[in-house]
Amino acid sequence: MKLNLFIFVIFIVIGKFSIVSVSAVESKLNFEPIKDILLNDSLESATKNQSGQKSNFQVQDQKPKKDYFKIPARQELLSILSELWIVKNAPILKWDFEKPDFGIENDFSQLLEKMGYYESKFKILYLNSPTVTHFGLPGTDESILLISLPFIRQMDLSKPEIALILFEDFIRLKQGYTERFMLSEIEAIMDKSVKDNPASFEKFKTVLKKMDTLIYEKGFDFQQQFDVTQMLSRHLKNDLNLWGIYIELLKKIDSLVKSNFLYKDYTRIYPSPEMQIKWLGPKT
Amino acid sequence: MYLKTLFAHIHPNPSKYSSTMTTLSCGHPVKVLEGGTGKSTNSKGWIQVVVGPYKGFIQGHFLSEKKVGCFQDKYPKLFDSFNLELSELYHWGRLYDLYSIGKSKIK
Repeated sequence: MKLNLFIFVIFIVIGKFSIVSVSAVESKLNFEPIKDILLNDSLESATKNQSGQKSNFQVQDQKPKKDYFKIPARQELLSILSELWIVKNAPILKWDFEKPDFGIENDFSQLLEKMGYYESKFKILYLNSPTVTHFGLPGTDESILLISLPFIRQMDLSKPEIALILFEDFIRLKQGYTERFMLSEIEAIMDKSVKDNPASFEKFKTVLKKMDTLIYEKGFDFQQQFDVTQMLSRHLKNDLNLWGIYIELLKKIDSLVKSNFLYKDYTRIYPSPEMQIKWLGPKT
Repeated sequence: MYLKTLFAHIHPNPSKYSSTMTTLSCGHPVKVLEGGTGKSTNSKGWIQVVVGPYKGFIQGHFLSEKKVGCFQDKYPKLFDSFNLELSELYHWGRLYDLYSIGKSKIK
């Protein structure tokens, strides 16, 4: 006990002495000769930088957090929805198959250029099924063009004829029929967050169902088909060779849909090759 | 380099009809083996790459020098809501393989 008390007293005495001695030394120090050195040692700027970094971190912390419930804007959504539909329907459309390189993309891009559509991107996907003969789906900055190989082979279509079918679908996409039909259900939630209503995601299932209806069953109405035919007519009249090929193509399709049971639904989707020929003929 | 398409396949040969070694999803890093950065190993645009234990080929235009903003990362809840099955992930990768791509030019 006595020993502990002694040690305690010794510490107090030493502490007192050191405080006194440090303050005594400080009072004797003269910083005046090294004042300039101290001012130019960049410590002040380093301190400022550090505080700046600190405020940067604070700003980063204040940035809005990622919204996991965000729905993309129209353009970003189009390709995804079109491809989602193609992927979900792969077992029906049978597009994953080996085929020769037809090189249609060169003929089609030349046709687009001839018709004045420059810098237009497109993707062609061949289907090994007659279920969908041909159909254009909207992409973000391109057209996604589906075309059936059995349909091509059944009619023994030439490259210019295939390019014209694709051009018809390209014009339909330009008219925006498919896009409007697809997006009508989700127009209100595009480019917005659905955090408060996650059930909105269910609407995308409706979009896929609507696409099924459009592509497999309903297709386009007479007015839409008339407008597309008129647009093609205006374009192709500038090239009488192409105009003639288009008329012959429509006759071939008309003959096919009337004679082949496999393609009987064609006129439900594109009404109808017979009417198109009449619309293109001389007005009486 | 990084994958910029939603999904893609690595093939043992530089052909879209050769079998699939593995399916990658957007943003996955790949090591380019031949031809240097972004240079294709053949005229049809295939690049030889190493991904994990696989050494195979991928179409050059699927890759990007920098990591891109992937749809899956930007809209994870929406992407989850698509309820993609494994076979559909595979098909999505095949889709990019099988597209015939073109673009009209200014004369």
